[in-house]
Order: sequence, then structure tokens, then C-alpha cells
Amino acid sequence: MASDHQNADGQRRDAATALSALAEPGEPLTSPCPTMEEIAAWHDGALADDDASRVKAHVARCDTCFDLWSGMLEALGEPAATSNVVSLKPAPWRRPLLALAATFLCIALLLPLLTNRAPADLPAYQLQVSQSATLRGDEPAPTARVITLAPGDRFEMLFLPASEVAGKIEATALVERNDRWEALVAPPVIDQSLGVLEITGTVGTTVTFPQARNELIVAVGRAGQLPDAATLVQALSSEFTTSTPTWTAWRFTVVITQGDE
Amino acid sequence: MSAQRLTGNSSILIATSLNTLPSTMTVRSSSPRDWNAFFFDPKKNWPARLQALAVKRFGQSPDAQAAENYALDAVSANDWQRLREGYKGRGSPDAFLAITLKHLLEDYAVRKYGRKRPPTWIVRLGTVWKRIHQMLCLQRQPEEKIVDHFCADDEHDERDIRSAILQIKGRVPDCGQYLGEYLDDEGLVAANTADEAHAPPERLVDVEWQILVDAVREALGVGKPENQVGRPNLALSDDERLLLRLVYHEGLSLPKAAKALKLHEQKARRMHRAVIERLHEELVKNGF
Repeated sequence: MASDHQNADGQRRDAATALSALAEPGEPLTSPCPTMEEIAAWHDGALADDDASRVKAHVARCDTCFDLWSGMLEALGEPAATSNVVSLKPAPWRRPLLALAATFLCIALLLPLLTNRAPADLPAYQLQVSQSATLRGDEPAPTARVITLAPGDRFEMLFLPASEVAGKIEATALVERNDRWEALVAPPVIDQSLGVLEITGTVGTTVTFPQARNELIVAVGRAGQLPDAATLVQALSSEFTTSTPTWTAWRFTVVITQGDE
Repeated sequence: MSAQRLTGNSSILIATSLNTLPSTMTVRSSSPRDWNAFFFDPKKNWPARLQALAVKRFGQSPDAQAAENYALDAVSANDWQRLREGYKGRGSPDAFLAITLKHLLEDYAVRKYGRKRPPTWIVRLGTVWKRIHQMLCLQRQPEEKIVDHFCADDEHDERDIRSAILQIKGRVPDCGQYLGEYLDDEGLVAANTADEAHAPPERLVDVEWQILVDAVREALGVGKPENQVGRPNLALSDDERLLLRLVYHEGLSLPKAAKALKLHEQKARRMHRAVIERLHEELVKNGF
């Protein structure tokens, strides 16, 4: 424990040192701001050495250009719908959405029959979450990894494949309780024909969460290819989502509030 | 071809993406001729990326949705003219699209809140402090909402965010009193091209330097220095400065910062440790 404190103190000292040091902008900028394309090309390693050095030196010191570059890094991170955006959807949209997905997937499912090819990698999944509490009023959509619910809230988590899912899939949902991972009371329901995965429930009645702040892991993969809980936990120890060719998993924090406040 | 207009409902984004899937299968990622198809390619998922970027920039607020809509309108205007004419083929189209969207979100902030800048000492503390200042002082969001925004993904320590809020509240007298300049489209164009937007970084005056050092030390619980801290001579290489900015201004982990800079993680760790020790030594000499 003492070493933890020392470690935390050390990190705080490092942060104070770095923030103070960075307050000094360094040598004055002599070059004009590079274009956005130049910054993007520098990031991609697509500039000649001289140009790359010039752009790097500028981005390192210029707040505006650094902000653009760091924002670009954010946008280029994990694909949002399969990773870091949980979108609110009003219930009336769900059916048309499924119909659209079904229309596309019916067309897509014909392709392997015609070409007789082996099942492809598991496609990316679009993720949507809706909850009755946020549908009632002007509450904003939930943040990337956190879903806030109150007792009595009905929620839906919908995982839509971005393209054809050839072959059978399976899914699991795990929640952490006393440092152990166990199956969620409301298991995922799979529509094998569409490859759609759905978790629904009402907090406190059909679904109970053990704590005020819960960790939830959801995984979908080809039949027989889903890893065990320990592997999933390890794979998601520092990431919101992780994917392999045969399975994809997400980790959420589900916060249970005390109801209307 | 015009953008498939999105009206602020995330479900529409995804439905649109699914609807456009067949036409996007032939898109060449190296040089997209059809930016509409490129943007709505479900494999790339740009609508959701834009949404995430807006939420990260503006927090869970109506501004995030409005900024997202604004950026989409602007980027897709005149058959994606901004992308067609701005992208010359250097680097990847993804990177160019990403930086363009980020630029447009910043445009929205200028449109909504004018050019009100935080005090320079906050600017110099980087993105997290600037965003806290914007959410607290310009958007007037409640403290708990700001804490939730920064701590939801465990990237930031709640104590640090609360401390930063306290420091800003205590040291920015007009926090929350600014009403913003609601610029029209003409004003926005002017804002885009203003030299001020690309002003070189300012060197802090001594008083601001002292405020910054005090605020940082108090926010991080390191304690207030007994005497005034002198201005040390801190030279940083470009790589060192970028690494420190990513870690301490943006809150990235060292592995992620290393990846962004295309450095081997171990090299980034060694660089980080060496530069921190060097800087700390120099600061201590000056009373830190």
C-alpha cells in the first residue's frame, strides 16, 4: 500500500513537473501554420524529411495545430460504433432500423450461396443503447463506455452487424460481482438469421445489477470461438472494445442511480 | 451528390450507413472520389466517429449535437467541396477527413462562443484544462457533469478534475459571466481566417507563470512552494514536447502516446523518464 502511495505521489510530481515545463512554449515559431493536409500527411509519414521536420517542430509548439492533430488522433482511434459511442435511439426507430438491416442482410446472405465461399471474418458491429429514462426528457445520450440507469428503467442494447454474418454466432454478457465475473441475468438474445444481438431488461425487475457501479462485458463471436471470461477480462483490461477475426467484445460501466433526483 | 442529411438522431446515422453499404464496397481508400460514400462507409463509421469527437469536445450537452450537425453540414456542402478541394492525395484520406472534422468542431465553438479565450495560463496547461474552462465558464455546466465527462472512461482521476475546477473557479474571476458572441455565418467565415486563430503561443508573463505553478501544485496536491518559483531554462526537443503534451495535456497513456508518435513503447518510456528527471532537477533549482 505504501508503495502505491509513493507511486501515486511520484506520478503527481511528474505531472506537476511536466505541466510546469510545458508552460514555456520554447523557441518562437518561425514558420507559418502548416495546412491541415500537411499535418495529416506528416502523421501518416507521407512527407519528405525536411517537410516532416518542419511540420513536427511547428505542431509541437503551436497550440492550434497541436489541438488539430490531437483531435485527429481521437477521430482516428477505434471505430466509434463498434467501440466508443453508445447512441441513443428512440424506440420507434428500432423497427425501421431492423427492417433496413434485414433488407440488406437478405441480399448479402445470397452472396455466399452463389459463390460458395467460406464464411468471412466476423463483421464490425454497430452498437445502440436506449433507455427509458433518457427517452423521457432532454437527457443527453450516454457517454462512450458508461450507461446510467435508474431502478425501473427499461433499456435495450442492440448490436447490429455492419455486413453479412455467415454462419452461426453466439454471445455472452458478464457482470462483475465481488471480483468475480458471472453471467448477466438477462442473457443476450441472438437473431441468427440477421446476426443481430439484443440485450433488454428492466432494472430492478428483469435485470439486477449487484452494485451502484458495475462492469459489464458483452462478447459476440462465431459458434465455439468465444473466449472464456478470463481471456475477455484480460483483453478488455485497458480497452473499451477488442476484436479478433472470430469475435468482438465490449466493456461498459453501468451506473445505477437512485432514481429521480 | 449531396450528403444524406442527418437531423440529430443517432439512429438515422446508422440507418443511413447501412443503407449505403453496397455502394461503398468499391471505394478506394487511397483516393476517394466519392466522399459521400467514403464518409458513410459503415466499415469506417465516420458518422459515429464525428459524434464521439463532438461529445469529447463539448461534453454531454446540446452543443455536442449542434456541433456535430454543423460539422456535417459544412463538410458535405457543395458535394463535399471542402474535402474534394482540400485533399491533394498526400497522406491518407482518413487523416485528412479527421483533421477537417476536428477543425469544423472548433469552428462551431468559435461561432457559438466567439473568440473568448481562457487566461493564458490555462491555455498553457493544455486541452483538459481548456475544456474544463470552457464547460465551466462558458457553457456553465454543473461541476458534477464536468467530472462525469472527464472521469466516465477512467482516463482521468476524479480528484484531479475536481481540483482543476476549484483552481479555475478560484483564479478566473469572470468564470460563468461570459455570454458569448453568437456570430452569424459571415462572422464565422471571418473567424476561420482570422490571424488570431493561428496566433503563436504566448510566453507567460511572470505573474501568470506564478499562478500556473501554484494552480498546478495545488491541483495535484504537491503543495504550494515556499518561495516564488523562478523561470527555469527548460529546453525540450520536438519529440519530448509532443510526448509530454500527449500524456499530460491530452491524458493519453504512454503506450498510446508512443503509438501516436510512431515510437517504440520502450523508447517512449525511457524518453519520458529521462526528460521528467531532467526537468524536475531544473525546476527544483529554481525553487519548485
